[in-house]
Amino acid sequence: MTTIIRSINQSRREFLRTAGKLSVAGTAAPFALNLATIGAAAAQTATDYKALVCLFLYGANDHNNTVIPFDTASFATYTTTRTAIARLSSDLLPLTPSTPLTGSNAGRQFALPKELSGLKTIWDLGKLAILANVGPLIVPTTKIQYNALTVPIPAKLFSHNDQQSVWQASSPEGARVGWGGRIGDLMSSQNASSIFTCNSVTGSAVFLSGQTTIGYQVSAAGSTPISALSGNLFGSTSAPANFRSIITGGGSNIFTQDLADTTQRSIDANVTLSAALANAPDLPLPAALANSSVAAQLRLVARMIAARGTLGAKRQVFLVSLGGWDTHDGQLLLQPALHTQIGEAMAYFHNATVGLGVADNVTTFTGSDFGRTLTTNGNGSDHGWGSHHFIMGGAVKGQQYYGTFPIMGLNNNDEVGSGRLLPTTSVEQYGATLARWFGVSDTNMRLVLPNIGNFSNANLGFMNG
Amino acid sequence: MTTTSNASSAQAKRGLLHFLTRSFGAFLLTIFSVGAFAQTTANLVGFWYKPSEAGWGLSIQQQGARTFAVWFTYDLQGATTFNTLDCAFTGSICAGDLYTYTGTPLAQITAGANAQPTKIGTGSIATTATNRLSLSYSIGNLVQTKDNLEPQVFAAADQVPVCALQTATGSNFRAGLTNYTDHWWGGISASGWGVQISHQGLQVFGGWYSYNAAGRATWLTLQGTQDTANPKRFTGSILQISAGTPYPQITGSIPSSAISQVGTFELNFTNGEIGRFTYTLPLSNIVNRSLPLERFAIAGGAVNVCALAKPVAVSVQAASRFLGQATFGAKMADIDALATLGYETWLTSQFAKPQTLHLPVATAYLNTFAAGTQVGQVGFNWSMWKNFSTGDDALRQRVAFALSEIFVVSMNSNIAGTYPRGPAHYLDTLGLHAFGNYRDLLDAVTYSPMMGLYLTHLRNQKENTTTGATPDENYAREVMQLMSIGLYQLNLDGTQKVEPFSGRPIETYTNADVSGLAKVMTGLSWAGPDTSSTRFVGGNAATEPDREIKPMQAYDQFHSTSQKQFLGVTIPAQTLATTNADVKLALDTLFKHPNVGPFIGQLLIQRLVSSNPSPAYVSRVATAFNNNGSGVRGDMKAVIRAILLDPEARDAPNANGGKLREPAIRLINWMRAFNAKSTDGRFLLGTTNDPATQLSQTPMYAPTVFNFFRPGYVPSNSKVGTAGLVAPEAQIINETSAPGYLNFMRGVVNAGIGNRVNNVLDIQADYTAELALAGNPDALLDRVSLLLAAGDISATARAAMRTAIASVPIGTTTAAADQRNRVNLAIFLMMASPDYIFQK
Repeated sequence: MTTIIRSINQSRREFLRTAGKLSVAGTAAPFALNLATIGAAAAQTATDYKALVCLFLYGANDHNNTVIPFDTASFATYTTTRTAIARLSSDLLPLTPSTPLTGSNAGRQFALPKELSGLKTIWDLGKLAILANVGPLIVPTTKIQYNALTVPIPAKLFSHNDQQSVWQASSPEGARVGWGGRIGDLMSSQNASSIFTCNSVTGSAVFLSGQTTIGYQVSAAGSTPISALSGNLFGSTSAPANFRSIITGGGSNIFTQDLADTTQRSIDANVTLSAALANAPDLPLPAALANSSVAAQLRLVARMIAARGTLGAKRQVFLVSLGGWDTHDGQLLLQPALHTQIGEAMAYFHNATVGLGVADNVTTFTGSDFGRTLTTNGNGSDHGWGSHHFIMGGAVKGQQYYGTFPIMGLNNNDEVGSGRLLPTTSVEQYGATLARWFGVSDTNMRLVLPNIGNFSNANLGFMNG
Repeated sequence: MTTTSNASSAQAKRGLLHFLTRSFGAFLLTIFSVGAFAQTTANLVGFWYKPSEAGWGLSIQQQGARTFAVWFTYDLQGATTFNTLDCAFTGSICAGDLYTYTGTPLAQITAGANAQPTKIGTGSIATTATNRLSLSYSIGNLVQTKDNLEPQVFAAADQVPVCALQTATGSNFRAGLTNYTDHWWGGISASGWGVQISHQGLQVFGGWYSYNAAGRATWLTLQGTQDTANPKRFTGSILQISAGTPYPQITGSIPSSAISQVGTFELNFTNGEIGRFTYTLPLSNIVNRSLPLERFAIAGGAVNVCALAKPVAVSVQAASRFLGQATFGAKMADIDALATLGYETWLTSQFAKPQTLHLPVATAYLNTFAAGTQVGQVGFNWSMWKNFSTGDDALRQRVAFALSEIFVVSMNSNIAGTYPRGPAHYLDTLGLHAFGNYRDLLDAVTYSPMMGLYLTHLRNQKENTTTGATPDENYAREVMQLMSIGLYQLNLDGTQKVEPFSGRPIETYTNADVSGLAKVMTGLSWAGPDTSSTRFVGGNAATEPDREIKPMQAYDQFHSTSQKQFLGVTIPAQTLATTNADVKLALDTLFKHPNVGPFIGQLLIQRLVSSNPSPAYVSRVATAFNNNGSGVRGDMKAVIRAILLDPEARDAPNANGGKLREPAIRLINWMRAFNAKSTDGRFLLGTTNDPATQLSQTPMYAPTVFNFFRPGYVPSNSKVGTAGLVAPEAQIINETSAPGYLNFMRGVVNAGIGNRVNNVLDIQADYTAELALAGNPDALLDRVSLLLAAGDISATARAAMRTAIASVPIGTTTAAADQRNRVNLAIFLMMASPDYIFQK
């Protein structure tokens, strides 16, 4: 009870502080002020806990070998087009949707590579959905429009760093605010401590930067204390206080001030988080995941979720990642090992949330730079655009496909050369569906995803509630 | 150092001869590039030559009221010879008699040369314009005038001494001079031969006048460099010109083929008055003959004094700041040397340093194992820490690291473990071309098998119309996006060009350009004695054990022969594949793109000096890239010079200037500042990648080809962002890595770092100098602050450091332990402070 009261009071203070700070900017920042206002509105309604967990596959996962067309005609085209990098049918795990595909997808079948058996299990439990051919778009775009440039096209397609940024923040590298962070702006006032609203267990990413929200960067082992802040420092018990003043002092310019701010934030967060994690369940990884970085990241997320009460958290966005997907070469060697890791790590994480009793409150989704070419360069694939992705959790309407699968093959209206998919669903629609579940109202969605108004459907339907 | 002032005419001529020969710089033109002329005063001392007739020239000495000129030229048989002119100026003309000489053959000279003059005619020199002379002579029936002689300049303008007459006060009047430009001879008791020296910057040029085997006048030249560790010592080559054009017929320059090295020399000056000249001339059977030299003077007359016009005025703080930008951090010895030498001279000396190589270290490590053992990158890691922290070529090592963050090949990849030597060689390749030309760098990177593996164009194959397979686009894309031209068309100052109506930036290339260039990048694979398909795909490795350190070779059968279009260039369809020619054309095209100067220039500025250079700064660096002053594009030395000597790098730090020091560089700063040594000798240290417990960074272990951080990174919700600035290194500074670094350095400062050998960490600092200051916290802080932060620490932080240091009383435990605690506190607190972490 004490916690709840503290939480509400702090939330109110947080809102007042935030709004006050922003109003100083006055008319120069109406957008930000709107967000703060919405945040306050949202704070009045949220009583439950929800977490969004983004698993970003840096380097661009080859979707063609992830959700593999398996009906006879498609698989034949897949095999003849991919040649040396096609998977064998004997290595595939066919998926059966809860209801058969209809419309343009009628009759299509798909399979996962055997390395994703962990995800197959979640699919069969009805807790995993697949979204077909999603990618950055500014407006719905046809191939004719793409070729004729009669509609705006996302800048710097096919470039890793830029498309990572477009996925995370709707514009290329240089973007400073991502949609995870914007969601955080709306939700942080519901948390006792705004610092734990947006959490990256995988270093810096624009996804978690908001107008006011800062992505808190924590290691998979938890927060990192600074040893020299207390005790005896080189023969002096008073030196730690001097040390503290030096590392958190502003220094001589804005660069040193930012550095000191980061350090101060780190110190403050560690005080709270280290205490909270000390009492959180251990949730050990299975032996097979002992050396998996992404599994360790997800374990930390699970433990932070377990400690949500102590942290006073109601709405949290997490980012975890796994790199190494840029399989220009040696794809059949590299990608299966990566698949094994994410398949088992995601399954571990889902089971952990079930064990914590929060499976319905936690939604995990994948993102990646872009899809890859359907054609091969010999033993790998090149940069593409649209891709297929996974959504996992108790609130997911699972064991089902969403979006529209592309026609299999080359030289059709679903691809823009070498089998690079022209997306039929935008990343913003994907994000909006998740944000809506998370509590962002439809009317305010374009503050989170600036181009969502260009799409008729802001809810792809894969979430309950 | 005396000579008679009552000498007879003949004696005076003989003295003159000893003194006259300043070898001229004519053929210098073929060896040194000629920079801007020094602005001379009426004083004409030095070498004069005619650029269009490089190979002959005039050396002028002025002392008292007399002017002596030595004319270095070729006799009627084309053999080197010299004549002298002794005169006094009347107005703009100095006229007198011309003499030639005979003397003891050079090979027999161990003291004097018994020179005998013979008058051959009359001559005059005339000043015709600023820095312009003419030489006229009448010899027999021949009357000629050579005009437009210029001063010989072979160093930067501020490294050319200015000479002036001064009245000697005392016999050792010039002992303190550190510029050795003058006439040097054996002294009155060993007269008849000598060396005229021009000393500019770190270079010395000498005209050694002597006599050939027949006793006739002849000359050789000396070209050498100053020893930066011992600036009184110069070493270099002795050069001879054969087959010159007889002087009446000279109309052009001597071909470089006429110049040959015939020996080596060493000049060791005891002071500005005396020294020794040691030389080896194998053809004359002379090995290390060493003769005394002294500076020539006319007793009682005004003597010539040459010194740099602009006194080198580099404070120790400014020197430390410069070294923080140009190297992996200041050492006290380097600070002192730079403060003495000045920036230009220091740069010139660094450009001349032999490269400290990484490959031998990696190879030596590999050789400690049985053949075939997979040894990983251990030897490479050691080499990086060792050479980065101790390499005498500190500038080259630092720039090579900067290049490794642009031309990224990462050990965080499939390369690690499999290729123990390749990465070391790749880093050496970057270091080699760091002082070369960008075009050669681009070529070497493109053909590097390590880059080929990393960006997968090794064994990249042409398209297959049957299967639909297309060439791998990886390298084609990234070489444009990251290593040469970037995404958007740039102005010279690095700002983006925009479309006139939309205001949108203009992309430099499309995906079609990437696909076109990808076709060019087909058909390259491992080096080897054949170009079989087996070798192409990776077989036959045993027959080329050095393939990981040799450039990739062309396998034309795998190279695309269809039409290739990229960046406005079309390579027509081919009957026979021409891999190397296509690659050359592609790289030439990239090299010529106007973006390269501003794009690469800005990246290097960001790596070395400032995250947010002004457009004017980028423009100046790009201009140096586009033309080094001699019409050469891509001269890396010119780019480095422009970056480090720019006012924005050298003037007092401005609010937007500077950059965060990279975490790995901070560790090496510590190694260098405190002369860290490896007990083992090999610097047994591995990676330091872990953010929570280490540095979040190890050189050459970037997570991807996009490096550890992006040049345009803006920290989330930061003051830097609000100000519209970027802070690339901040991308790896966060709530985990900031404490990780502090904890890591606490351990390093206290106990060293590296593998534990006999229970002691291998890499240990030498705190001797700091321990000596432990009793004086202010002096201790002065030193540590100067070494690490160029003395630029805010008063608040410094006060806190001082309080902490003073809180450890000396003598409570043992004095030594307390002193060490104080030193540890000074260094750790300094390295923890934001004022240090941000390099201004």
